Amino acid sequence: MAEIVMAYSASHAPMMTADPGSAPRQQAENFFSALEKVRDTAKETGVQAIVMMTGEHFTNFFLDGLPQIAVGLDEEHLGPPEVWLQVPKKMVPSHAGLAAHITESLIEQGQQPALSHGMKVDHGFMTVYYWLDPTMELPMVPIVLNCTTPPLMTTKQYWDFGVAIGDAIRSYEGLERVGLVAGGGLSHFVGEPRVGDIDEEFDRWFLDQLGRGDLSEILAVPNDVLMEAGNGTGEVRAWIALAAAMHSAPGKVLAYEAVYEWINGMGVVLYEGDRQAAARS
Amino acid sequence: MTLYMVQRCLFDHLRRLEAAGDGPRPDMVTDGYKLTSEERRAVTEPDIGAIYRMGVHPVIINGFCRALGYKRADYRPLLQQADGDTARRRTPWQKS
Repeated sequence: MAEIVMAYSASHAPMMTADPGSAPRQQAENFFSALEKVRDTAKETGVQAIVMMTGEHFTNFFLDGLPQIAVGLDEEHLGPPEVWLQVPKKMVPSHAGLAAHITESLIEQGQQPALSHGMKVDHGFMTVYYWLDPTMELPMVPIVLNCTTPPLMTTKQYWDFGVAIGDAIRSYEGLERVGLVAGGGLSHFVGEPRVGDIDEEFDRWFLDQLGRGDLSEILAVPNDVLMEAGNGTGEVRAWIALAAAMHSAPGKVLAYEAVYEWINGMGVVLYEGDRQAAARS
Repeated sequence: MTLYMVQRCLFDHLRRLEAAGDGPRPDMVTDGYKLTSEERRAVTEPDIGAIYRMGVHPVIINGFCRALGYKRADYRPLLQQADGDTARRRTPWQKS
């Protein structure tokens, strides 16, 4: 059976690769240092493949057929489609066996993921993945989530989804060491009158809950109220799912910076792997 | 005629721009989309405020503004002027 040997959530502002120097130097250093620590952790754990969840940006789906959750099922996925992202275009390897198992297991557990072939992995994946593995050789199973187009799944539903995806990964027999990654968030406003704002109060409130391993407050927030923190902020649904997959263990907040030049609250939260968490408890 | 048609029109335009790369910039195409005259005016002029008021998805607005070469400082005021409802509701995370 697979073990989740590492898990982390990180913001995925396009500017972090497209124009990293646009941020104040200290803020960029703090954020990127956290991603370097995650990269070191990945090396130490010998992770064989990752499963990554992030928001859909109309890269793979549009309003004529928009799933709430879709799993990329191919052996490899093209990324990134954005030519300006400053990440080399590449067929990113995946692990089709793990992807198929996750899909089947999710359905058995009462979830309804869409099946997707030909999925492209846009900035939502590639900004974070490129920092994890600049060679882009580490297999990545992509999962896209609808985080911006109402009606949306609630935070509680994403919690349940996260529990299911944790169980799905751990019941896979084809690998031993798997990583789980959430990309997106924290607060940001896109294509609306508050574009460029960052809701720092929300970000710190949410990170505090992740750090304590108690998400009861955000799980009680209705979708329309969550939207007040920014119409892009709903991507924290991926972070909630990841926390649920890690049995609500306390996460370590490695960094938080409100980077106005990137129009995004930028955070990184790292979780202990299954074995470490079991040893501690 | 429908918000979906406006969004489809804009989305298809963005995809055509993407496909064109550094080549000649394609014009906005409205033929084949069931649009009212006001919708056609808003997408061809273009009128960002009107597009926002129609309820076009913010990800499409963001992409459209970027494709037009607008900086955030250019289009934020256009959206603010179009926003009739500026009241913010109380949230659990607000301290003050």
